[in-house]
Amino acid sequence: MVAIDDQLLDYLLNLAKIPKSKLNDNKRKKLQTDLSGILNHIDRLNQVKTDKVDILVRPYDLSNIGHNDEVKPSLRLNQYLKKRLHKGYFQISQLIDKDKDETI
Amino acid sequence: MRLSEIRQLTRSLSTWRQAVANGRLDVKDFSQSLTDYLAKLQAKTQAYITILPENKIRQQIEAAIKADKPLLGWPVSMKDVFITKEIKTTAGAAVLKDYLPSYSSTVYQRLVSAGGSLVAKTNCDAWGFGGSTENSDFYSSKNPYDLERVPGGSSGGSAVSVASGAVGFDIGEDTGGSIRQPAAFCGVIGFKPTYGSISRYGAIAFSSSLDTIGLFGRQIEDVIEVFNLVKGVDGFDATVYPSQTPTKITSSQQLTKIKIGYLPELFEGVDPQIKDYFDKLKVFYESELKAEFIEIKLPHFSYGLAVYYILAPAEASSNLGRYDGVRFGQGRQFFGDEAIRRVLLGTFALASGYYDAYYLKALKVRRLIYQDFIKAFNQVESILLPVTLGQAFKLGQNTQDPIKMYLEDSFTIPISLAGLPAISFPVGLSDQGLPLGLQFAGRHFNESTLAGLVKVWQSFSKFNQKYPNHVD
Repeated sequence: MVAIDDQLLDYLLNLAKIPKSKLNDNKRKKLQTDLSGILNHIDRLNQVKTDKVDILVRPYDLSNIGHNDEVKPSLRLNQYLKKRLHKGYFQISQLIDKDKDETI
Repeated sequence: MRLSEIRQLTRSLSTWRQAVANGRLDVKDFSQSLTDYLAKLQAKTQAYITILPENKIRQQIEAAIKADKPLLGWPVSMKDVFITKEIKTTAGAAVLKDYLPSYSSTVYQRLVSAGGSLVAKTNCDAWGFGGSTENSDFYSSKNPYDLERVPGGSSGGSAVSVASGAVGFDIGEDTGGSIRQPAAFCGVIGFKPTYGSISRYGAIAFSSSLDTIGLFGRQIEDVIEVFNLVKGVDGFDATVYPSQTPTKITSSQQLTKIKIGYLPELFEGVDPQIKDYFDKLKVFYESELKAEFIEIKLPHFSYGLAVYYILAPAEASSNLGRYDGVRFGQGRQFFGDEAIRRVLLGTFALASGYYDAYYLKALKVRRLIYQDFIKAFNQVESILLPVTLGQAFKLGQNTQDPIKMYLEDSFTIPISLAGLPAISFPVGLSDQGLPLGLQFAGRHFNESTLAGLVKVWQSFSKFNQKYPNHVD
């Protein structure tokens, strides 16, 4: 059984880009208990023999959808990201040189 | 207009059509009365995230009647996971609290083309993560049969909307039971078609190999009619099955001597009243259709929950990767507790070192679950099984224990993993006056048989005529 210790939790938060500052000590502890409990339940899958079983990703196979490469009318700039537009540029929160702990 | 008159008009598409044809429908009076009722319902149950203004409701109805569209402006609500151009779309999530889409989902476009009038968008667990609406980042909805209990989820607001008689039907989405379970808790029909029936273009994605758009309705004939209007290929969703034909409700004559499968062990540990209703329905179908009930085996059914809680979070962690605070709404620091739990769980299952042991293992067991069903359908044409462990639970009862909450979906999830169609329908009330449901599951793309079976029970039990007392 895998336990979600501090190191693994930090690793996952980092991968998932969830700010560590979002979690106080109590929340961290609760999250670790919850995730470990869920993984404990999931471990029952080890009772099933699957050596000769193929994976099933979805109930049936897909066929690719292609479109002709035609120029068609599309949304104008001011219709995209309306709230983020500033003098014709997209305005986003500062990402660089910000406290690392806040961004990842 | 009185509430009973509103309900008369939302009860069935045929009564609505008659009212329009006879010139008895005063659109202005109706849309004003409906707007008042939606506000009252919202105050009591918090079923909605957005309620459209009266003039928008009126204009849609008038336009649909004028253009003689099939639904003639019949009022509808939609779970707030479907993108609607210039109408706020949140998926119940704070990250998207002010998101105004610049395009519309296929299912909404088809609804508008068919003459449905969108009157409200319903509350749900954020991103569809939950079974009670208590994970909505805004507020919890309440069960119209008991305002201290949950309506179920994730499409909880949708079930309330239909159960209360505010709309003719509702478009919801079912990933692991998100239509069927709230339908059972609120006493309406919850229709989850075969995976790949309705295009998910413009549906905010949770778990791409499981998400299935479906319907809440009051009577099965209307559910199937609307299903036929919205399903089929649109060229934007590769998972839509290409050759679908219109679904017809199988007649009771054609259902004579039908073989119905059941699993006795599933009723161990559920509320005994659900077993009592199962026994009642067994006797009913044996006498009405000369049905033959056959005990079947699904050896891997009980592993469904464990498989689901690897695959669905894994896919969700990928789908939620797009919410970076730049393109859509606010940043990831606005994720709620359940979203964080699931994103981390999914990230874990897909992480190097755990991928084989968790993600691939789950995909293999998924195949075994799928094969069990295919084998069972060589023996029977449909399976009758529980939807929930019991009646709707109290608000706050399961919020501190995610596993307890997840276990509520034990009977709906395996069907989703196999991509099968299923219909949850009301069987009666518990001794506390709360709705209970059962579900029929069937072969891929055989919604017709399931609809036929539900119709026979509907004609006898008249469940489509029942309304909750707390939202008058």
